[in-house]
Amino acid sequence: MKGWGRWFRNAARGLLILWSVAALVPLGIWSFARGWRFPDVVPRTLTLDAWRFALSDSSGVLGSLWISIVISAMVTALALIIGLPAGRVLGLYRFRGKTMVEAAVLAPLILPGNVIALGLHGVFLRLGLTNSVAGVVLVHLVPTLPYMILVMAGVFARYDPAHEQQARSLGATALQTLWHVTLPAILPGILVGSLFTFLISWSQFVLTLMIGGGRVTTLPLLLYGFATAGRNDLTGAIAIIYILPGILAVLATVRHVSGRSAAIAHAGRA
Amino acid sequence: MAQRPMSDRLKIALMLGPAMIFIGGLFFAGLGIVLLRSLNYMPVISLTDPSFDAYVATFTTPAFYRSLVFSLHIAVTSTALATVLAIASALLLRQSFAGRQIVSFLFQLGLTVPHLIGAIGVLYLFSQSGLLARIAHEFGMIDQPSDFPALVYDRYGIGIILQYVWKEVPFIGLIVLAQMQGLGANYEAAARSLGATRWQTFRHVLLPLILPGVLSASVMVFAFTFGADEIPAILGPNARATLPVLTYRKFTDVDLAARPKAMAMAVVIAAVSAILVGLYLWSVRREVSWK
Amino acid sequence: MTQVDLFRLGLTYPGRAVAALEDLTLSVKSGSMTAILGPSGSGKSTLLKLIAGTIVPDRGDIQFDAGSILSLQPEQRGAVMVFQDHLLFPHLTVAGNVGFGLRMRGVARQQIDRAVRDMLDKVQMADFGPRRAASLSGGQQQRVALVRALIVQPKVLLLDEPLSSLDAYLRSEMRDLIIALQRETAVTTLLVTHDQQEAMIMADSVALMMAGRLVQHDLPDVVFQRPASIAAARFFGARTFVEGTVQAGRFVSSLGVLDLGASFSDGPGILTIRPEAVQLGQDAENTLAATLRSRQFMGTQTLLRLAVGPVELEALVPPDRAVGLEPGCAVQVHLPRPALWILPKGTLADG
Repeated sequence: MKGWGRWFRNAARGLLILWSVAALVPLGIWSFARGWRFPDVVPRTLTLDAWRFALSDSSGVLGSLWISIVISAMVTALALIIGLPAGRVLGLYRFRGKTMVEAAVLAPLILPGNVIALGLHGVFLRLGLTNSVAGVVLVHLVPTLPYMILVMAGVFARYDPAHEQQARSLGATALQTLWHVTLPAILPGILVGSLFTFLISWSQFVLTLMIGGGRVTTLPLLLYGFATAGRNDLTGAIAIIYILPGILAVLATVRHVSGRSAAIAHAGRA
Repeated sequence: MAQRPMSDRLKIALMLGPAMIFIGGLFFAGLGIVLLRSLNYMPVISLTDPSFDAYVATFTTPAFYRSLVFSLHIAVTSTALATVLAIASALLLRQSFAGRQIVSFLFQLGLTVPHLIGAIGVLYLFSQSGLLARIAHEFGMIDQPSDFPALVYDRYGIGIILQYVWKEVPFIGLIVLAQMQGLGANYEAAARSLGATRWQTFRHVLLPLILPGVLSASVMVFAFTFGADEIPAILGPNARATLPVLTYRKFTDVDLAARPKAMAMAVVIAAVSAILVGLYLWSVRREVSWK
Repeated sequence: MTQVDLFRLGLTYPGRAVAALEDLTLSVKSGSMTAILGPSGSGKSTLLKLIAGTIVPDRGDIQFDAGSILSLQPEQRGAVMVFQDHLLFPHLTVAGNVGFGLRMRGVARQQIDRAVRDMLDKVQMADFGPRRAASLSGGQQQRVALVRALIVQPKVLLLDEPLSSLDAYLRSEMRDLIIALQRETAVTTLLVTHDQQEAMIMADSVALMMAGRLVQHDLPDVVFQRPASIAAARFFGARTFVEGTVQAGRFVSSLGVLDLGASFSDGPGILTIRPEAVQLGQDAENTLAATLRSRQFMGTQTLLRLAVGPVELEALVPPDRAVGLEPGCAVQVHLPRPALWILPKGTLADG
């Protein structure tokens, strides 16, 4: 009875592993395949051609990679600068209208971003923001800023501001207190929040397409182009490059994932 | 002290201000414009005659209802499957066992993989010439690709649902796992010692205790699977569009007169999500008073 | 009425070097209340969980009325555990919590309602049935947890630190309630506690556990006054330990020759005495000349640190007896024969 239950659980865990990586396996194989036709289960010829081409100047991958990094970094920095103070207020203070503010922060996380982009498109067009990196950065703030605010609110809800009062009473200036007391205490939260804000921006596809108009070719747009052109091998290689930051992020945070799982899980909304 | 400390109210306003300006100027402005344009009212571009024409046109089109039903089918099925599988996964992952770290890592992997990649991966895996079809051929179960069941581009949205389930199981699963770890094992031990069987303990103790967290995650998944358009666009059939896909098609229609209709449908999408979240919050406030 | 026997129980948690329980044999009399006493981390709660069936031992056997229960699922054992943080199910009402066990057994609704009412009546909470568990005070929650366990008429009741989460003034009330209910139902009860006073007051017998092992199991006063080891003596508050030799009813050590009164076997041993047993003044025997090192007023008692030759002796005396005693002054103390206890030699290391 007991042995049977254990066997069942282990089998189920095995299935879970298979299922978890299932969608990624064909991408990985394709990236090393040459002419992998039905019904071959594994490619007849393995090659690095796709990788070689992907990493060459002519494929445009490196350019797209750079644009993606720049956009996601700018989005993260903006979200942090705007979201950190707001998160502090929501985490530490009680005030009239707080429920309204919280609802306003939560709404963009639930309502689909593509609906919002439909409305923003016309305005951005008028302001000359369509087809531009600036416009893409702004529209990426729609899903990322509320996320960052929520993470920072969570960080500050666990933070005791009495430490700051203690520092001030010991003679630290406001700036010294910020630098020597507040920042070190919330640094882990800032890092995790920034990491996953970066990933949310990194995985945007529809918003980039709608506001960037196909002119701002981030990595997913380039990848989608190759996918629709039937270049499965290149698609596979770019897909691997594209998911690498996320995998590294999970690796970096997997140890304390239990406590932060909700925060990390939010990145799944990307 | 040289200067008087700021009042709390001023501090709150200054710190919250920029965030509210950005959320207001992007999210709520976008939403507002969608609403106004759906009513064909936009004084800035000299549309000064609000009307419900776009809504009337939308609600009298059979295609709209077909898309609405298709979207609801995908959202309900994906959410239900993902929720059940996520709870099962969390139950499997919460005990300690050899290799747990690795399994947890692989389980979480899907979380950070963008939906686009998941969709292409599902395509390469489940299509009629995909990896599974090839394996089926290897075992002599099929002779040619067309013998393999159509799991993508299919009229039931199976491919779309598979992708959503693949992506959302870890999302709900990790939230459930965190909740279970927060509860600890003692409630269940108490129930068992009071005479509840394993199943009764799950049904009458663990499930009610994790339900609030499960529900909030499920609501988010539902809103996403109902409103997103990239996955149905990639994995869905051409003949059947989900509501977001139909909306996008109307929006990019060369006939500019279709735009208000696109906006009206967008409002419907947003309204369904909003109503759902509202219902959820309302029920939570009633039910979870013990929290 | 169930007799509980534990045979050579052993358990090592995965990934731990030290066993949580080692070679533990204990017999709990049917209908008795036995306290499992020991410092935190001594394995007391592990022992309860093993009996409840939440965890499974690596070695040994557990028997109820001479039949092994190891192969039984927790819900089949009839050993109900009451946790120290009550663990009332927050999604159920008070009545829902109390009736939980009967509901799981498929008892008819009306019968459950009646039993729940009776039980709540017993603990003066008749009106609390429809309330949410979280709206109760700590003491009320504890009472509900207790009747939630008793309603299923368990063979064995396992109480894990039932008083430790309560305020001091609620404790004695709850303590008396537990004693009364246990007497009434005569359910074999194991009470885990780290509080020696609680154990002495409530239990028929006390099992002292340390570092995963059973150190001593006896009547409360015996365990208290006749500790089996230095560690046990220390746990009960003894601070004075003197090495020496027993010779024909006398103890020869650096304190001089003391008359033991009781019979201890000859040979090397360690003398211990509880600080409150040390008396100021002179008596017929065992009177020693001491120098006062320090004096500490502690409210109801005063702690005196005394030097008798090379030996440091602690004494707790009524404050009025210590008036006028200044550090450095010479005093006479006497050690009553019944208060002297000899630990077998060789146990000095485990203190």
